[in-house]
Amino acid sequence: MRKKILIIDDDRAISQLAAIRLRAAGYEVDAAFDGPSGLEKASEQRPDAILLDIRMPDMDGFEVNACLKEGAGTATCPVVFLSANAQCTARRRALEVGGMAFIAKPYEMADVIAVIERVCASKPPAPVPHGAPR
Amino acid sequence: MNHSCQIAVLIVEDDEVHRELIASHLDRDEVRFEIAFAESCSQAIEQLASRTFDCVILDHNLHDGTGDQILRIAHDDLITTPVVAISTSIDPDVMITEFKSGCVDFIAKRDAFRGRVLANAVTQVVKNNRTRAAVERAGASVTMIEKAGAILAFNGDDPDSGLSHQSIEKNLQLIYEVAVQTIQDGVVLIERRSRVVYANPAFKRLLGLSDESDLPGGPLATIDDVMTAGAAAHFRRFDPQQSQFESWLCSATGEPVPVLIGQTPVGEHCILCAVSDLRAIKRQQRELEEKNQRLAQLYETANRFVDDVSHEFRTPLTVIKGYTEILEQEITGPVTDEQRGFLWTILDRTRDLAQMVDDLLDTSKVRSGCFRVDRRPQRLGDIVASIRPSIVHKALTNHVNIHANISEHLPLVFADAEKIGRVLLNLIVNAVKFSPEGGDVVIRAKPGASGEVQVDVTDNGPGISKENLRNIFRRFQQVGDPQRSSTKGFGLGLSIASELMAMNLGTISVESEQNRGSTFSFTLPVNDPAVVARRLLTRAALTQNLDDAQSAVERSAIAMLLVTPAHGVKCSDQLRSHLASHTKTMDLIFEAADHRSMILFGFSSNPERWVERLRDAFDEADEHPGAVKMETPGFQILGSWSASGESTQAIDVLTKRIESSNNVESNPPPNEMSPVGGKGERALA
Repeated sequence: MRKKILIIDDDRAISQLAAIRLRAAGYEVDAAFDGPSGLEKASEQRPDAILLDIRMPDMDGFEVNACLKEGAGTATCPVVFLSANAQCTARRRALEVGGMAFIAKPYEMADVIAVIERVCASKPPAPVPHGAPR
Repeated sequence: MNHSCQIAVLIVEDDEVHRELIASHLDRDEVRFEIAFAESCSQAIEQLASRTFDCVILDHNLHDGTGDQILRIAHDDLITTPVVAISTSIDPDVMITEFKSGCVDFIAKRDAFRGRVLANAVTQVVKNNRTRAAVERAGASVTMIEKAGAILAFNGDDPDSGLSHQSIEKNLQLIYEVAVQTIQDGVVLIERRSRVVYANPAFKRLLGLSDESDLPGGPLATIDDVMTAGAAAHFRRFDPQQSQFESWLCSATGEPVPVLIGQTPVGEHCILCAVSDLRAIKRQQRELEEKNQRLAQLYETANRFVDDVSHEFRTPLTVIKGYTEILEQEITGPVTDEQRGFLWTILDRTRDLAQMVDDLLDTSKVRSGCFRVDRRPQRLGDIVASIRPSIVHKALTNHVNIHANISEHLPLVFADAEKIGRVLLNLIVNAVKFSPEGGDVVIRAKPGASGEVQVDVTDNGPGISKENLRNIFRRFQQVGDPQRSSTKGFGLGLSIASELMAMNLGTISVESEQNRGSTFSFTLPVNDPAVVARRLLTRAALTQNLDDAQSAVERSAIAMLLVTPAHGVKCSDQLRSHLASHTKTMDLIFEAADHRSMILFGFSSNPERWVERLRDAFDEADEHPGAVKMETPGFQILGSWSASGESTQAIDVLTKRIESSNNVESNPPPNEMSPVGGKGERALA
């Protein structure tokens, strides 16, 4: 079954771009261009991952995220934050509020696909033995 | 002959030969001696009464009396002409008699007839006398300055000798007085740590008074009348070791006057003070501070502007690049070869622009200390692969071949993959820029010396001159090349690269030969805690100014913490990411032997406080709405060591805590924050 991805970003050009890419990579993609309609679509469609822009008018990515975490059907949905603000504070906060990853704009489409692939993979990453090669 | 000075001399001598001899010795180039003679006491008195002489040369023994008799008579007649006595006798008694009776100089004849001794003596006597007369003429009615002027004016007559020593010494007291009266600094004499017994005009002016007015408190003025309590207290507990201090005077208008007071004890009971006005300096200081503040604000504004502008550039760049890629990859339909070529050019230049924007942003991050570094075990092959998309088209559009030669059995490195990727990309883009058409850029990675991996990026471009090599890692330095104006950037790339390498405890260097090409190399420590920790210590010892501005005290001690995740937290990687965002650039994070806990190794003179700070950071993070519970982990202090003497012990403990196994071929832990591309492609273009 194809994985469902929801993009919530007020920049239509970028959303469409990511959508084309992800569809080409075999995902089912929908896009919302503001927080409230994004939340609506999220609770309707129960996507496998959400790409969430941080800076949006009216309701920013962190607010949307907080609502998602409270929603019954969306609380466990993995969120990947997107932002043109790559400052350490934004990055740190994205992690702290439970974001699975943070992608700085402008992103390489390959990076977005790689992150989505990883996020959608149900298996948790295998532990790796630590060591010092010589 | 031009005589600048004329001296009238009366020679009193009864021996005719001696008379002529004396006259012939009165010879000085710049002085015209006008000579009169007297053969006896009576003649001498007569002459002196009838006209003015500047000087009398008096033989001691005359037939009608001795020199001292004439002197006495002259004195009684109020004749003040200075007298130089000469005598064949060198009997001290004679000399004393002459001096007692008022002569100003005494010369034995055998000396007087040697060279210009007599002429010089007479000239000096006359000058001193004239000075004294001038000063006396000036008298009490005129100012000190005029008195001093009189002295200097007279001495100015004599271009040969200038101010004579004798003259200065004789008038030293006057000169000091003039100095004290006219100096711009206040001079105050304080008696018994309280009473102001003397204050010069400058001091009065400091208080806002006129030169002649009395001090507040009149003749009985005390220090409390003229200065603040703080300054007065200074004098009460007078410390002879302290030669000066800053304080305040109380001016007549009530406005405090900032002053620098220099003090020195005089005798047992007095302190002499020089008081300098600091108002102008303080004002200038204030103005300078204000100016500095304004400049700092401007600088801040300019930086913020660059930041904002760069940010604003990023989004349109994403769009341009993204859609171009979609067209180029024929996702929306086929394109002709010609069209594809154009699209590559768009992509290439867009990447250049994106790179410049990134450089600008990185520079500001380095400047603001906002660069977080997340060092972990990494494979170099993965880092090279992650930047592959960025360089493929660059190579194609510039008709340059890029070869990667990454040794398969490279040990893991301990580095921030994203930042090393940036460095590598930077070096490759530079190499491509300066390569001729059909040129080759080679990326080589090989084990380097003593626990490091070395990466070389070689081009066969024009090379870099020795002069340019020296400055190449400095900010805004560019290698000028008029033929390649299209490849201009800001000159930030290499300075950022060297900052990023330093953060990764690596080094960066360049070798170049003109017309042959250049090789930029960087090294990274292998994933061996002992190697990494030693590099950290070396870097700290070499760097005075660390990114985190840790103090020297802080850096004098090494501390090690064991961080155990709260129960139920399985993914050590999440703990690592959290720790990375809560620690400083110079703190190292290693995975402990249990693959669950982390070990923090860093500089801290107070490990308890370090733990406290980390706990706070974790607790604070939980307060954000919607936060996933990353429970505050447990912290255990594993020890602390002196950075200078006990680093070996510290590193021993560290290595024991981290089970070392040789896992060259194993995968690195997955990296949450920086997506990793394909694994280990060898041919890039």
